[in-house]
Amino acid sequence: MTLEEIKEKVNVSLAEEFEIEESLLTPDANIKTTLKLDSLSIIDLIAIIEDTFSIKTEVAEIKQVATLGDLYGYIQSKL
Amino acid sequence: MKKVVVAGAGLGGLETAYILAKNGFQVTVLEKHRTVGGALQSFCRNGELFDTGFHYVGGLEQGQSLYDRFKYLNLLHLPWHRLNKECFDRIIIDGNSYVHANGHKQFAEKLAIQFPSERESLLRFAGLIRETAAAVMSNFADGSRTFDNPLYTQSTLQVLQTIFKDRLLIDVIGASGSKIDLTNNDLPFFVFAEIFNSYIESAWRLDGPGSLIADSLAQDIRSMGGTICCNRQVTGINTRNGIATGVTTSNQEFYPADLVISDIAPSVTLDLIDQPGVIRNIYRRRIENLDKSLGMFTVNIRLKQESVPYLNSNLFIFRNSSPWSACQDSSISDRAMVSFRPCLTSSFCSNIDLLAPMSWNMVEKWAGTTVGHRGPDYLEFKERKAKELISLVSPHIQTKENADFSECIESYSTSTPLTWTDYTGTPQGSAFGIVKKSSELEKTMLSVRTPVENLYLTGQNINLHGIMGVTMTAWLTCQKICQIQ
Repeated sequence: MTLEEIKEKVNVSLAEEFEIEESLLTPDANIKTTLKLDSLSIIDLIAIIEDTFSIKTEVAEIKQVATLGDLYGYIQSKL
Repeated sequence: MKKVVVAGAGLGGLETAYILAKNGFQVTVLEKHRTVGGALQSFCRNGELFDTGFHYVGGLEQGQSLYDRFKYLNLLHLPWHRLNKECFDRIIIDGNSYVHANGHKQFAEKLAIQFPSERESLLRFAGLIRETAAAVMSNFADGSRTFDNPLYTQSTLQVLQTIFKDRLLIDVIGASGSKIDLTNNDLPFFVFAEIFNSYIESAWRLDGPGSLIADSLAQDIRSMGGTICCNRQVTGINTRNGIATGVTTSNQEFYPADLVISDIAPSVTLDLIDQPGVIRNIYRRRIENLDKSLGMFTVNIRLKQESVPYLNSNLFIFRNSSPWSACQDSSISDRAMVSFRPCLTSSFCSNIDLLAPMSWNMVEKWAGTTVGHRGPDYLEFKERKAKELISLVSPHIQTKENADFSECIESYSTSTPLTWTDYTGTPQGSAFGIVKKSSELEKTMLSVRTPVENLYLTGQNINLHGIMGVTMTAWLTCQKICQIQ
């Protein structure tokens, strides 16, 4: 899967499930401060990512992911 | 003074209400049943009181796991009865008997008599249980809760298989785990350790029904100025701009609140929120899809006078089965816990409870029926299961003059996961709430917080389960709200 395809899938989930405006979904957007996903939402995000990409994430690793760009890269590294 | 409404008067609801009342909050507890207690409710059959969810508890001596918290909750004055230190749980697997004794070293040494080649491993296990329980306590003590330590991501079976070579010993150690639901092979080791450790410290029954715990908490909440209303089912959690403003009850009363705490199952709680948009679908789906632990089938037996000597231990009996896997054949009863109730005036037993795990699918076809109106096939099913369990345990219960155990029975009544659902409101009659998984810790160990800022969760679906787990979670819930004095 290309980075572009990962980006597309993640952004669709964020827009649909978390009702985040698409204009905010840029690679340098900070997940906590820009997208305003709190710790509860991060767990939901992990659940979506694991289902969508059939991967197993590590919570400690996810906590290191700061921006949306980092998240795309993290998913790619797990595929 | 901040107003708190607690929905549900189970142990978690009552403990949070108690802590908050003691810390200056104006507390109102709303319970849908006519009595408080949830899983601690006791009921009366033919003049005898029986327990539903409570049979014994661990760690009540000074310096042990539950002592400080029960002292804070004014529960130490209850008539606690210490189980036999040399053997608080007797494990019987395929006719062979093993003991669980109090004290970490003694626990290991007693089992080492029957498993001499595992002596060192047993001592290591006892130490690990103690260290892990202490780490859990300190992790949860300040109200935060992190699972960063690798300790938290190991499953119980994985840890035991690393320590022990003898498969039978792993079964013996897990045998008393019907109070934890070990058939979930992914049960996090720290959950097992925290519960198991408290029993190794010391094990206690009540000289009386489990409802004494709920009644004591309720009485103290009232004496601190709190209000407890039974027959008040919360039918709605009212919100404005994403913040809870109070709750509505089945009799159309509105209880305004600055904070709402739900001791109701999380998926049911979310359904109560008046504006569905407040909760994202993704969160709702995640909560709804969490697996529920097994339910229990219980046979409450009233014994003929002076027919069965009191046994100051629990029995855990297995026949051609392992505590680590669920019974695959629903037509077989292959395991049971036996709990004895002392007769206060003699050395005999007044009644005995038999408990066995029962999955929801065994009773699902009667879901939607109400107590007393489930039909003759349900009664027949319960009767058959009761007879199976009685036959399973009979050879292992000592009776006066070695009479057949079935001849010592005056009468009995039964309950299934359906009964549990009706009386506690727990979906699928689950006895231990949501299944906690070491491979999905963050998803299955629910936070006490919710997407509604001032709506909190408590009870055994959250975090940890059992008396010990619910009590620790009550602290966690309250620590999100205030600095506990």
